[in-house]
Amino acid sequence: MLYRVKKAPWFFAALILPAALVVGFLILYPVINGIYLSFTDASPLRQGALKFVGFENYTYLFEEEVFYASVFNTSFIVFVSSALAVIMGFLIALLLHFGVKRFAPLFRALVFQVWVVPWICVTILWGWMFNKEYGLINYLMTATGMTETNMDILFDQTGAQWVMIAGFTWRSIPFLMVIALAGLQSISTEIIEASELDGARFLSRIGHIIIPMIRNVLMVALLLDSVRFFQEMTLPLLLTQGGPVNATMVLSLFTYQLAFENWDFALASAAGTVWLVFIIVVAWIVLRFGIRKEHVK
Amino acid sequence: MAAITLTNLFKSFGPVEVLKDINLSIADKEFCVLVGPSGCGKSTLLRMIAGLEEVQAGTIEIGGETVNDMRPRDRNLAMVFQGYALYPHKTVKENLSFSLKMHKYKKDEIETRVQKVAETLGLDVLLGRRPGQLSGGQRQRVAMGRAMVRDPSVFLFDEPLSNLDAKLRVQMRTEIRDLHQRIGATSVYVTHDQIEAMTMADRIVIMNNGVIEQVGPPLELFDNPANVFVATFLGAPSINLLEGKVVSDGEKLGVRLVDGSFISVPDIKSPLEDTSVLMGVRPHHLVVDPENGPIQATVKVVEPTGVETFVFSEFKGQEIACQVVRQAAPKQKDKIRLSPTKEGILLFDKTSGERVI
Amino acid sequence: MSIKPSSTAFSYRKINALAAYTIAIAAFAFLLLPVYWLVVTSFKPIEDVFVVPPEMWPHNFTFKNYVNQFDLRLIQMFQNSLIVSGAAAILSTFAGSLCAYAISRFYFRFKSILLLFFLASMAFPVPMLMITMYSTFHQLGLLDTYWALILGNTAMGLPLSVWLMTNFIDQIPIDMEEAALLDGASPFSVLMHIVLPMVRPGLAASGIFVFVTSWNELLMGLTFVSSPEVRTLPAGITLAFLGEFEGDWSEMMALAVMVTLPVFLLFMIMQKSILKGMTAGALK
Repeated sequence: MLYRVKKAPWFFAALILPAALVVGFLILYPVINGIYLSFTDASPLRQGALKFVGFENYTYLFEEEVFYASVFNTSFIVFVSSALAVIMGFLIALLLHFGVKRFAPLFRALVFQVWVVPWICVTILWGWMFNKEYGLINYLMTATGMTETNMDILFDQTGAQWVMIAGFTWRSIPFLMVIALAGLQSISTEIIEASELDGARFLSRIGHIIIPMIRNVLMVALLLDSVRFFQEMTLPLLLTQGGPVNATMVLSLFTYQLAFENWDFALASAAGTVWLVFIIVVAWIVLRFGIRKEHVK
Repeated sequence: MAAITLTNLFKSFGPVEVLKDINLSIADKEFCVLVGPSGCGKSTLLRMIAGLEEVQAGTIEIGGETVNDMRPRDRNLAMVFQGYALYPHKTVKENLSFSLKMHKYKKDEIETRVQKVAETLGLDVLLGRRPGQLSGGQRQRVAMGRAMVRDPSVFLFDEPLSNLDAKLRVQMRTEIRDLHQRIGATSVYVTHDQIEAMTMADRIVIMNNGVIEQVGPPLELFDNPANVFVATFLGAPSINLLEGKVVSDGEKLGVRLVDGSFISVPDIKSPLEDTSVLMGVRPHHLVVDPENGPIQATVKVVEPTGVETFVFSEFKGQEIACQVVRQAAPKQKDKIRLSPTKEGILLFDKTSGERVI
Repeated sequence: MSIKPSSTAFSYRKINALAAYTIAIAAFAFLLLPVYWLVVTSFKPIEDVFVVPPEMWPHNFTFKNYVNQFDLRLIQMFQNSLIVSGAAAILSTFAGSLCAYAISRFYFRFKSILLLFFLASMAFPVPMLMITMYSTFHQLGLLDTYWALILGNTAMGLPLSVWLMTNFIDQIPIDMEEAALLDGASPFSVLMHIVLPMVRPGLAASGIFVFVTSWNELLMGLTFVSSPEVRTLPAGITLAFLGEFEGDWSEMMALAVMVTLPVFLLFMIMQKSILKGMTAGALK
């Protein structure tokens, strides 16, 4: 450590100040204020003093079917997408690291381009691909004989959810693949060779040696990605507006609509607070049970 | 029976030929040390025996069976890696039992074996720890334990002591040697340290640039090196090499050095007359001869090691080393006269490096 | 002495390689197909887009879609996005690096809590944060100006910048700074002239991350800004898509490609730094 705060307080303050201002006013304050607002009847449509209403907003939410639907949908979509993305990302990383070593950087770069495509474009594309009459997916499905007539996937409850999942997964695989690849590369070849000599077959090597060693890294990446997905709203907003019948109503969209379409800041804050608590609980569970602390290199 | 036979082995990495026509027989239960400078191919050779490197030409036989096509795990050998390669997320006990688990041993069998090996190596108190919590020496022992637990017919060592400090290295040398006596499995040990080679081997295989220079018991290689490379590689301080020419002083043949002095050498055959040679004399064969010593040198550095003292002096622009008892040590800048003992003279052909006498 | 080439020895390794290549190519096709599809469709005339079976390559390659969409409105939106994203990237990286240096080089008790907080703040529900931001901006009269978006995006990007830069700075040995201080340099110039030049890849990575995130940002673009003069690209496209859209898919695709292009190019240039940044943090 180079400095002690006591000895150079002005320097420290100067360094922290810009970030502290931004975070303080635009992140910390809004969170606290939001929690506060959830106990009031705040709305930009109504001028005048805020009235304290206790848990009214929360009870309203918990009686509202759409709310439950959005929590459930979000959990389902995020969970499945994350799981798929981590598995596929890991598999591709395995492939690259052990099978196609030489071209790994090239593949990695190519795949990473996927991340660059703005959500808005993915949305447009997805809308087109899953289109009933002319979409690519429908064409593939009828051409290979999987279905007989064209399906309006976006109009089907389960179908719409899987479209979301496909979008999220697709976007996330490159990210998780890069992380997994880095993790794999950090395992020394000697250890792999030692396990070969010890008699471990390919699957055993993966299960007993590789996965335990990169598991922490993957868990953290998974958590980060899931948290990101929770915020994602573009795809549902444009493609399905939360439908059909609230099948793709996700928490982010729900909260946003409450806040900026219904202009009910109080209720939206309540929804946001529930969201926050939910995330904290999930993160705690993942970190507590998914990460092994005793892993020392 | 676990003798190893290597026949006509070749290996290249791309355009670079790493091993050229290697032929070697290692007897059952022998402790064979592959030694040589970096890049000589010794590690590659070891890994080929293990099955971690592909054999491009030639055959490898273990216990009479050709194993070229066998996967590493089927070859019934165990290897101690340079970096130990312990599984960081597993306890010592799990590290030791892993290979047994992979070979589907029964639980109680695993238990007994692991216990036995742990006791032998003094690891029984450490069974619950993870590698990250162990010292270098302890990790080394776990690595060996992991190899021992399977009771393989062949042990392979890839520079296992190079990550340890000097004192620990000396201690582990004897431990490994001791273990070998007790277990009696064929061992192939790779190192770049010639002291390790000398002290541990039943036979030494000196390699250089992908070929085997010489094979034999340590002392034989020391006393009768086949060429300049072997002579300089073994022994510290290294052997003194003096340029000269084989001439006659009228009666006998001997070597005339660059300063004109003549040293008679017994047993030179006449065809050798007029050849340029390098005369090799080990430091302990170079004695101080104040009256008649043909080699006149000036002392530069005196290194006392507690028992013997090494004296480095300058002779015609070249540094030569000799060994004296500590009481007789000269001082810096003294002029001394040295003379090689009769048995200590080795002659090497200057161009080919091959030994002639 | 005949030299017998070693037989089928490692053929099992060769087979694995073949399978690996096949699956790898399949995986990449799956991942890149949508992008390919996007680009290809943008070059098709609208009639060809509805053809069944869909064409893999435009038979009537045309730039018409691009031309149709490329108007003043688009240029204005491009400009807006550029300003907002660029400013956010710079501000975020600047504030983030300073803060990161403090975190890395100062000892204080709640350091790990602080880092954890920064990480956690990325999980805070954005709509909820936006509520208060909206009120604040409204009171300050910043709604419908660049500043609302710049500040909002900076706030979103700052935690990541801090995290990234802390990781990068942590990896630099302290010796040089100690030496400089002994030589009499002021702490500030040590930061400016010694440390920051050494973490250029980190600065680049942070800048790119925030730029790309801001470029793609939709919510704030829709909510804080209502006039077309200040509108950003994603918002503009959304409104077009939800509003005046009449099935001119190929034009939308062209629009999408044009929106992607700048970030794509930027990304290609700065690839190495970015990957280094992502993995450096993750592996800790």
